[in-house]
Amino acid sequence: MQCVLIANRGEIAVRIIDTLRQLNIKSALVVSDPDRESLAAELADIVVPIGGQSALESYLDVNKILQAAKKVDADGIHPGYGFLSEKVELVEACEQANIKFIGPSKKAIEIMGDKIKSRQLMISGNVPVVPGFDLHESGDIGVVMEQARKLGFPLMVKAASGGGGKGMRAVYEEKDLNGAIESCQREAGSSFSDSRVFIEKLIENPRHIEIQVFGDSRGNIVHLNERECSIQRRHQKVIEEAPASFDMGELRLRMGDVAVKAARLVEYEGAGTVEFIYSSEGDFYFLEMNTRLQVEHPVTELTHGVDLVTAQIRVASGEPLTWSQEELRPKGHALEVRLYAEDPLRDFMPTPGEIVKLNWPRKRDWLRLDVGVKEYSKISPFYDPMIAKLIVHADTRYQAIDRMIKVLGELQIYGVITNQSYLIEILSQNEFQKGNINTSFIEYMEIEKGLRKKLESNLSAFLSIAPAIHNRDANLDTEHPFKVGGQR
Amino acid sequence: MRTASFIWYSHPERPTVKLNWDYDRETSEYFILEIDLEGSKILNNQIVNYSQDLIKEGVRIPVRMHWDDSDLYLSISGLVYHFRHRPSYMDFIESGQGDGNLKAQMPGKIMQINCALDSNVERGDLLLIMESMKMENKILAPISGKITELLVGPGELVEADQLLVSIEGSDG
Repeated sequence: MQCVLIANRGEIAVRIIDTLRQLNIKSALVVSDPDRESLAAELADIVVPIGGQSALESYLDVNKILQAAKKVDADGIHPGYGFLSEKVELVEACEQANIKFIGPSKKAIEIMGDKIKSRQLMISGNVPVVPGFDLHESGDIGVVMEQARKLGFPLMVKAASGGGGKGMRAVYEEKDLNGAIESCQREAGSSFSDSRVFIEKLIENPRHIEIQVFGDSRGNIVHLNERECSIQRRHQKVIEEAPASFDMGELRLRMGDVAVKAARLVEYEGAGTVEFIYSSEGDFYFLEMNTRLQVEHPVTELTHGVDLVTAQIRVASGEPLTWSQEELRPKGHALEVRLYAEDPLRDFMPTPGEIVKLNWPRKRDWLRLDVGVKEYSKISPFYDPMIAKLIVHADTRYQAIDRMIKVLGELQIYGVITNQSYLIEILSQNEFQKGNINTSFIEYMEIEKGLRKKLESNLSAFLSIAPAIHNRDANLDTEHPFKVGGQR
Repeated sequence: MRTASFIWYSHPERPTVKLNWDYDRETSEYFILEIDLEGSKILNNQIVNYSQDLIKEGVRIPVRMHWDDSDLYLSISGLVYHFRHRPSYMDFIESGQGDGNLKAQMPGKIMQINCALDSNVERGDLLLIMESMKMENKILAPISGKITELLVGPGELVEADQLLVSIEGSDG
C-alpha cells in the first residue's frame, strides 16, 4: 500500500499514523471541524477536512469518508475502533470503490454484530455460550416465562444489536421479566433500529477475559492469548491488562483454542477479539466478538513484542501471517489505563475545555503513551472524552501496578478535570493489587467514595497519612505513598 | 468558608512549600491566599511551574504545581487540586494588619464606593468593591480612623500598587 486513509480521530489516529510512518506508507487523515488542529492532524501526511461537528456529520458519514479516500487516492481505509469500524456500510462502499477495508469481511462483521445470529453460530460450532434462549422462538409471554423459569433467575435481557452496555436489563424476579423485555425492546428499537432481544442466564460477578485473535487471507488464524478487562464502570473498560490478573494455568490454552475456533466460524481476517465471561465457578462463555482493533490492544503488543497495526496492514495487503502459534507467548505483565476528560466526583460528567498545561511522565523504556491531545488542545464535547492511554510493562504484575501509580503521580494535565486520581485510587486498592477483581469491582469497592474522602480531607491530613500506608518493606521501586504489596 | 494553613516541610535539603488556602465546601472551590515556595513568595500574576519530588519521611512524593493567571494547579501524587487565586490584599486586610494606606494589589476595576472623604470609619467597614480576576472583592477598612484621601471613583480602572484610600488612624 502507498497511502492509507484513517477514518478516525484522537489517540488511535495518532497510533496508526505512527505505524504507517514506520512502514513508509503515506497517512491521510479525515478531520471534522473541531479536529482541524488536533495532534493527529499535525502528524498526518495529508489532512482532509470533511466538515461537520458531531460524529454523525463527520466520522460516521460513509460518503464523506469515501470521497476523502478517493481524493487522496488511498489504497486502504483504516477505521480504528468505534465510529464506522464495525459497520458493513463502509465495507460495502470500499468494495465498490476498489479500496481495501483494513478489517474483516462483511460477513464476519454482519454475523458478529448480531448477537442472536452469532450466538446460534457459536452453538453450532460447539463454542460455549451463556445458557439462554432467543425470544423470537416464541412470542407468547406464557411460553417465555416457562423457559425463563427453567433457566432460573437472575436473568439478563439483551438486545441483538446491543453493545457498550446499552440494551441490557438484569432481571432478578419473575414479576419484572415482562417489563424488562418490553423496555429492552423499546430501547433497542430506538437506539439500534432493531428491537430483537434474547435472554441469558445472568452470570454474577464474572471476570472479563478476552482473547486477541488474528487471521490472514489464506485461512491461517492464531491467537495472542488473553487480556483481562474486569475493571469496568457501567460496562466501560477502565483498566486492562495482559496476562490476566490470576493464574490462568491450562485455561489459557483452552480459551485460546475456543477463540480461534470462533474466529474460524466466520473465516476471520485481520485483528479481532473474542470476549468471554469467566464465572466464579471457573466456566467461561462466549460473550461477543469485536471485529476490529480494540482500545486495549497495546497490552497485548507489549507482552508479545508485536505491532498489531503492522500486521493488519500486511494481512490487508494479502501477505500471510508470519507468527506461529507456539511462539506467541506473553512475556511479563502489561497494564493500561484509560485517561478520560471526565469528573469522577460529578458522576463522570465529561469535562470539555482547554488543556492549559500538559506534562507527560518522563520517558522510560517500559512506558508507552498513546495520546491524542497536546497542550492547549480543546476537548470537544462532540466525541468520546478519552484523551490518552498510559501503558506500562514490567516483569511482574505488582511491579506494573507500582510503575503505573508512579507515572500517574507525575502526570500533569490541567485545565480539564480528568479521571487521573480515580485511576490511582483503583490501582491502590489492596484487592486490586491481589487480583481479586471482577466486573463489579468498582461498584463494590465504592471507589468514588474513597476518592472523595481523600480529596476532601485537607492536604496536610493527606500527607500525614501518606507515609503510614506506605509499605517500606516492599522490595520494589516504590517511590509513591501508596502501598503496593500483597503476597509475593 | 474554611481557612486552613498547609505547611509542608520537606527533606532538610529540599525546599519548603507553604500554602495558605481557603476551601469553600459549598462550591468545592479552593482559594489560594499565600504560597511560599523555596522562601520566595509567589504573588499576583507570576507564572510559576514547580515540579519536584519531595521527600517526607523517606517517601518520595511527586509534587507538581502550575500557576497561570488566576488559577493554580497542584498535584500531589496525582491528586489534583485546582485553586482559584484570591487577591492577596484580602488576606492582608482581613488580618487587620498594615497602615491606613490601601493600595490595589493587582489591576482591577472599582465597582462601588461605600465611603466618603473626611468621614470616620471603623475597622472592618466596607470601603469599596473592586473587581479583579473576574471576582468581586470587598475592600474593608484595615484600621479605624478618618478617610483623608479617596483617590478613585466608580468605574475607574486601577493598576497594581495604585493608592486607593488613605485612613488616618484614630489612635495614632
